[in-house]
Amino acid sequence: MIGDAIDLGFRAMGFESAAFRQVLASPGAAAAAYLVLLFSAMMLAFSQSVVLFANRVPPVRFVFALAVAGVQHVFAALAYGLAFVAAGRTLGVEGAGPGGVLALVALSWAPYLLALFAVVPHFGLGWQRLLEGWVAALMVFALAGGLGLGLPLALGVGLFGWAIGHVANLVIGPLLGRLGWRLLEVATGRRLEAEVDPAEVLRTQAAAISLPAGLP
Amino acid sequence: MILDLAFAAVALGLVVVLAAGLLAPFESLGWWAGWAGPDDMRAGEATRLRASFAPAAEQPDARVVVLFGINDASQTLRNDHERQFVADLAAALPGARVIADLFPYSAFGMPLNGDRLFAWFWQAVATPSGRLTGLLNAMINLRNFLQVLTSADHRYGPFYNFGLAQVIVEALLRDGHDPARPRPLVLVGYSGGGQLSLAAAGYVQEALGVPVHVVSIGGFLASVPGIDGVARLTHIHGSRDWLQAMGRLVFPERWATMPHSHWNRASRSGRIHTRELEGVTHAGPEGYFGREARMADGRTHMEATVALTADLVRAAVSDPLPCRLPLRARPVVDRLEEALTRRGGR
Repeated sequence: MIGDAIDLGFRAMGFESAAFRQVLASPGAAAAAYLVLLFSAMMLAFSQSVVLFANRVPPVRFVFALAVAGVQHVFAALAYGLAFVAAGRTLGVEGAGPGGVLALVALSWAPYLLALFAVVPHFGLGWQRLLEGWVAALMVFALAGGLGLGLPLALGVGLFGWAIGHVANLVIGPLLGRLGWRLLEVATGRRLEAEVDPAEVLRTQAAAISLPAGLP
Repeated sequence: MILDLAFAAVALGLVVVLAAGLLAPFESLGWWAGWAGPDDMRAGEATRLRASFAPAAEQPDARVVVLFGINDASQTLRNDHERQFVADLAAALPGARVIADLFPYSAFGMPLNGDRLFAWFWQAVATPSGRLTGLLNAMINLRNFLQVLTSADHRYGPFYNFGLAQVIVEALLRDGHDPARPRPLVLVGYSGGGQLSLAAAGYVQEALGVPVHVVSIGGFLASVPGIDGVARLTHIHGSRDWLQAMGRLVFPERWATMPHSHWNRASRSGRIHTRELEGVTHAGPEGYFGREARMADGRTHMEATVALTADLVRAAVSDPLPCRLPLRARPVVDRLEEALTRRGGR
């Protein structure tokens, strides 16, 4: 199952229309697409784990927090899928039902299977941007190839879906962001800072230092 | 057959480079998180600084910290050229102290042959004679180059550079730096060491409250926040040194298209200067530390590099310029100094 999912993911990365059509035709392939999304989300979470290191999360909590962050990425992808469903319905586009669209979007996240390489210093940042563009292009391609919409209509649905997602993010994004952050804090067992300045941390620590014995 | 072998060799090389790249940031991140390395960010901090804190009665005109290039495996395994550079620079600056006994390619200053899991391997790779075989030498270069990129990366750089700044501050305290009588500090960095000097400079200035000047000798320089704390950066480059020029290509924030980057702001404020050495390459017999190749005026490349570096140190002494950033990381030293003063220890 895992091998099939990885194979499906790599076929999707190569912009193979058949991979996306397979997801709509076969429940097994749809399950594999969700597995691809889960792996991709975990890889993405790991590539962004510097915030956990920065906040000095202990190893066991670190793994737990990665799992939580990965699940959050899964929900983010599925939220995109729902935005596409809403866009399609608004534009009167006929095609697969919500489940099919969600599976297509799940498979579109396949490039993030390679998110591990975003860890590489300096060049990893460029790789991360490349993956983001790759996933965006694949989402449109999935709508075009999987649903047979044709590229212009798929692009329209994609852009409209992105706009819906953006507006939704403006409305409930901050609340969801706080909730997600809170979940991460529960997982790590500590209050997390988004930006950690080492000099400020040392300053705080210095104030708490008790001078060695023998000194006044 | 030969093509297959060549392909396999290239593929293997690529895997090694990727694996090394994936592992590169975790030394400094693991150290910062407290998973690995010395426990100096917690209780050990005060004890370690106290051990280092012994201000000298006589303070020099300036202190010069030298960080060498990426082919170093340890501060104890330097090649003859590097040792001679340090000796010649110290001779040219009798009033200054030249400090070169630190290893900058680790966030906590741990040399490759230090207390590490694979220390035996690196020790075997880097022979004390400094004669490294090509492939093995490349492994040290790759490992250290990735640390330079870690320093330049906005995600990991703050932790790596902060750790390196601590290593530098400790070296200065060991040398007798007196916070009450601060002297100008010049960080001299060759190649990758130039980037590390620049990256750590901001934290060093914030910790000690002394103006920090950076002299880059063929430095592979990125646009890093540390440059905000540099009083003056002088980049010495050979006219035939294409490696240092790669920094302009590899780091987009040095491009003119990003006018608000740290580099471009420093450049506009007139704090970045360049000096060219005609005919000098990045490394080797015709490099900055070449002892045979000669400039048009008859000096060896080594002599020209030493003379120019010494001139820049003298300029820093005569015109130290003000500190650019407020003190922030100083309280640890302050508290120890206060305690020692009250005890009558100074």
